[in-house]
Amino acid sequence: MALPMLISGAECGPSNALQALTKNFDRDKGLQQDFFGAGRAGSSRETFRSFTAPSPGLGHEVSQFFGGQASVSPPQLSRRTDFDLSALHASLLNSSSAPARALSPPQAPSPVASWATDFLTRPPQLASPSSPRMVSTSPTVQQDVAQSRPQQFHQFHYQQSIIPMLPVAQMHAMPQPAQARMSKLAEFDPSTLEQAFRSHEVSLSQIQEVPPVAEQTPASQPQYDDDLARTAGEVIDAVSHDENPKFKNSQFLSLMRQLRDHDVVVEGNDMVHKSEAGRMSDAPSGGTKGKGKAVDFAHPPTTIPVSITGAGMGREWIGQRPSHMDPNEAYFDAENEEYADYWSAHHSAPERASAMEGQNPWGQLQESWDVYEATSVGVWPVDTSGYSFQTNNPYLLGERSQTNHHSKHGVPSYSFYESVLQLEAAVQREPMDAKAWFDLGVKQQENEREMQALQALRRAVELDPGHLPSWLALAISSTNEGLRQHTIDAVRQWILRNGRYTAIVATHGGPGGTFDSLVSCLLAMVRHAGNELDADVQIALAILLNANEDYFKALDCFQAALAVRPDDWVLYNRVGATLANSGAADEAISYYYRALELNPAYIRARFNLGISCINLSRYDEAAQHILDALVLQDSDTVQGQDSRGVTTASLWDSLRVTCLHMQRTDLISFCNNRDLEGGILVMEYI
Amino acid sequence: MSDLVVDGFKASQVLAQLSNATAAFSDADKANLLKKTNGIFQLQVKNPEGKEETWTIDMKKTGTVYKGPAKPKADVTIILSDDTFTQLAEGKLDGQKAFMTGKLKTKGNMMLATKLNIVLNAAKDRAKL
Repeated sequence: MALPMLISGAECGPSNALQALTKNFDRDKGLQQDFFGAGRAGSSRETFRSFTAPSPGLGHEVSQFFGGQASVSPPQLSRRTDFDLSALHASLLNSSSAPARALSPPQAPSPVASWATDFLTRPPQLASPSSPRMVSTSPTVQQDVAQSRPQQFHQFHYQQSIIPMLPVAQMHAMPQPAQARMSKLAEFDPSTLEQAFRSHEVSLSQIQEVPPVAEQTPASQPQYDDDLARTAGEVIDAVSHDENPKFKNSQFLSLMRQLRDHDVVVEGNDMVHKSEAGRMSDAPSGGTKGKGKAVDFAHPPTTIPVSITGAGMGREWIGQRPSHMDPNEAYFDAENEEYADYWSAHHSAPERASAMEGQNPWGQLQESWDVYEATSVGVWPVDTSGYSFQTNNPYLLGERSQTNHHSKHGVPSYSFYESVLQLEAAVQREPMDAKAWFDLGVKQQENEREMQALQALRRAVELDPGHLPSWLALAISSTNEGLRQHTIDAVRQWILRNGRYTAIVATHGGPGGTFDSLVSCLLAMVRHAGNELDADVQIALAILLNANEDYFKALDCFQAALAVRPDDWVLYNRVGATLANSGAADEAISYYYRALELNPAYIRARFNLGISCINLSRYDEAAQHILDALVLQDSDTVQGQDSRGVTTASLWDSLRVTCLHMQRTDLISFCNNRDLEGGILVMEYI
Repeated sequence: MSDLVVDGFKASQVLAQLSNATAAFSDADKANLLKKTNGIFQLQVKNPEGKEETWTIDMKKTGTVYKGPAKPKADVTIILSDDTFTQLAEGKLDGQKAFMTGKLKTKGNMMLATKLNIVLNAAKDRAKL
């Protein structure tokens, strides 16, 4: 977890206080903690440990417990035990209850860098998600931090205030270029600062590491960085005997050195200067706060220190290193600085924005071109919906030849109903016409080709989101395909875009994203309408209820809609389908027949009729109906084309099942081959 | 398939239908259904005359329906009357409701019994709106 990073990051000696702390942490104290928090003992074999937050007064007990860990403490531990915490308490600053500190007995806070050591111990406590006790006590700890901080900061701010007119908060709120400029100022004496920086550097770099820990970034990262640094060191050692100055000054070696010295860290796929890395990871939190304010102590603990170790300051420090370094070092430092400059230049927001502006016209041009594709017949818009048109559509040859072809090719005319081919041609002629897409989608629904309908309708709402019938049709298709979430989304859009009910929707509080909220919203709309029944609202409600398999309520809604529109064959089919799905296939059949009376070419109703017949074990009838549906679908094919892509697989499957029921294995082969003509020939003798 | 049908059991018709439907499934559909259900149901159906028959719906390994007790051990055994099963298959009766009212008894993994609905519905084409 996070601890190895802290240990390796802290440049302490081999006997690290943190390592002792880790040992305490790595133990499973779940049992004892349960013991503590809930005030009762639980078996470790219990799978689910219930945990209740300890009462505030328990903090003291906690500290006692962790101090006297060797002995098992009973829950009714008396407040005064022989364990003496007074020495530790005395060493603590401003803190009334500091269980966390008592937890690490080996660590003796030094008076000089008490703040820094505070931070060295604190991060693991704040960042220990594995321990519920720690989480529950963290408010205390944070409070503790808040108490001890201002004092430390006064001290710190004092050192900072040497810089004229640049308070801390302003500094970190400054954009990157400004910081770079500021670093060039160098009016103050760097050597005084340097000492301060050195003393704080360790602790600050620790703090920098904290936020990722709290967010539970992969813990292997620090380990990895460390390995990288070690490997880089090995590489340098291995080539150290080489005297070639060219090689010594090479970029590769300088990079290796930087890696070894942790000046450069790897972030994602990029090598980043360390100070840059810190700045970048914390920029979002730092940039938004405290602009123009004076030093603000109410800042969250991490933001201020981070801003101080920002790129500008870090480089400053590097630049002002004492002159005892050899020329090579100087060269590398220069390289470092260039590298950092490069990074800051490329990560300053304004420049990026301007770069974007420059690219935009080209991007837009590219986008507008991407919408079209060049084909042999001209430039066509790319069909993003994925709708595949039939090839060689005779209706495409031109407006004028339309009627001629109609009669010539013998495509059965649906009197005033258009064929799919006509509608496809209309869409292909005007691919940006939402209405054409909608008509096509509805037609494909009627023709029992749900996937194509879905694609066409999606395209329609994409082109014109304000077209309400498209949303309803899309909801229907989604329901049929079992895409419950899509249904809900479509109905929601329908409600939101329905101008007639804006006021009611607003008073109702607007439809949420859930099924229940949509239903209640629709019911509010129904209630508002009073005696005047809006069929569309009823249909929307029925679609939703259907998607939820609440067939009896859905039936009510559809029948209410049917009362308003008694000639809508689509509604008859819907009532029938709802009945059939609720198990009343026999009742459904009369509705299907009524729908077919109104529109004999209504393939969906015919197919549904077939399904109901199968469910009623009337297989001969079923086979006939499904075959009729197939013939009708097939009639939408371009003459001479293979019809297999046009007829729907589900129809053939149903037909096949029917044939199985009829014990007519000879017919199954026709179904398998999708051989309609052969099937018709045989079926006629049934 | 005809060996599934037993005179005097309406359930046998339904099961024959289910058998046909699963036989007609494409491999992908079948695999999908098996994955979704993943259970072997043993049905002990009693008809009004008091006769009892056993069928097995294997939706774990083979995706088939056969007469007789489950060959690898059944995950759940469902004991119900012929009428109840027919109503379940037609969707007129809710499996949970049937269980609550005591029309349906189970042995073994009870949760799996709720998936019987899925299996029975998979065999049926849904009417489209």
